[in-house]
Amino acid sequence: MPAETDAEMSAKMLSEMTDDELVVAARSGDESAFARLFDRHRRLVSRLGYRFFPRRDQVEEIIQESFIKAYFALDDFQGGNEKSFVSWLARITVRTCYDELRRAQRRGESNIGDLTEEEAAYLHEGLRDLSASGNVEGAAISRDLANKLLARLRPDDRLILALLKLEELSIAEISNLTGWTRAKVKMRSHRAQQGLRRLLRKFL
Amino acid sequence: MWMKDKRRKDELDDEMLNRFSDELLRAFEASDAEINTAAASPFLYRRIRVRIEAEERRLAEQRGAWLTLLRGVKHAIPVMAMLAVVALASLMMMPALSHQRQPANGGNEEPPTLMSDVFSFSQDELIASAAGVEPGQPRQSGGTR
Repeated sequence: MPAETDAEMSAKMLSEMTDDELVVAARSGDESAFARLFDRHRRLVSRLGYRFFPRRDQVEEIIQESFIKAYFALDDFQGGNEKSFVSWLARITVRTCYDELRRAQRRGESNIGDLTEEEAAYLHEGLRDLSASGNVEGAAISRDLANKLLARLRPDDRLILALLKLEELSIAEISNLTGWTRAKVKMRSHRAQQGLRRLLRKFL
Repeated sequence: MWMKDKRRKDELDDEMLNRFSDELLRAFEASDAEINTAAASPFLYRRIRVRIEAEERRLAEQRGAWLTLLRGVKHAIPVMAMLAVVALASLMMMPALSHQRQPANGGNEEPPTLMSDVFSFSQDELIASAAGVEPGQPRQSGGTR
């Protein structure tokens, strides 16, 4: 059996280490430990990024920004249980997405929410048909149209809706992720759903 | 009756719109393939490392600028302290020096005033000028015979 090289042994060791151990190693300047953390959790960050942004370049930017923030905040990570690094990183990612949504709104990028006449007509027809038949599941909504409609919502409404409906998180989990109180999350989720209904009603 | 019907219609609308909203959000959802592609984007980690190093350099420069400023302040502190001591000492010496100067002048010297030579008349000179007589001349009197 061929002798393992140092690099191979080190890679094997890293793969066996827990997240908390990798954080400790990364804190002490071990670059490969942070690379290992990135390898383990980049998919999670990518998935969360796609909840809010439709384009790959936007999601890649979210991945980079989130891991950079995580790197500089490693000293603040307390660890303790198995899932804690994942929830800590998810918190950073959600915060990064929220900041980016707000930045996009300030830059006026919500103007992409302007529908073309055909899209507005399609939506009107679709909603009227659905109203008559009640069969919502058959709705063929393109991703582009969904993005345009969602871009008209406030960033906090959008955040809540994505976490509630797509990530299927509970009020307590959303509260933990966003740092908002449960009462605030409840109130905002109610308001966000109302906002989306109001938006759709315009096309009825 | 009409209000009741309207409320029921609104509720139905709300329910339908809620379901449509869910469909809308689901339409926005990315596929697993897309998620994986973005996560496995080439050089992603390399780009993160480059940005981390740039940020570390910037922080180090910022820290360096602060240290330079602090070093400058460290040198300036003794000089400022010395200036303060000299200023304080000269302030304390002032009354003592002016006290020493007073007896030499007799302490009666009036402060000099501008044009003092022009306006400094004696009482006799003032009376004489009022009477139209040169000072020192006898006064003409229309007196009694």
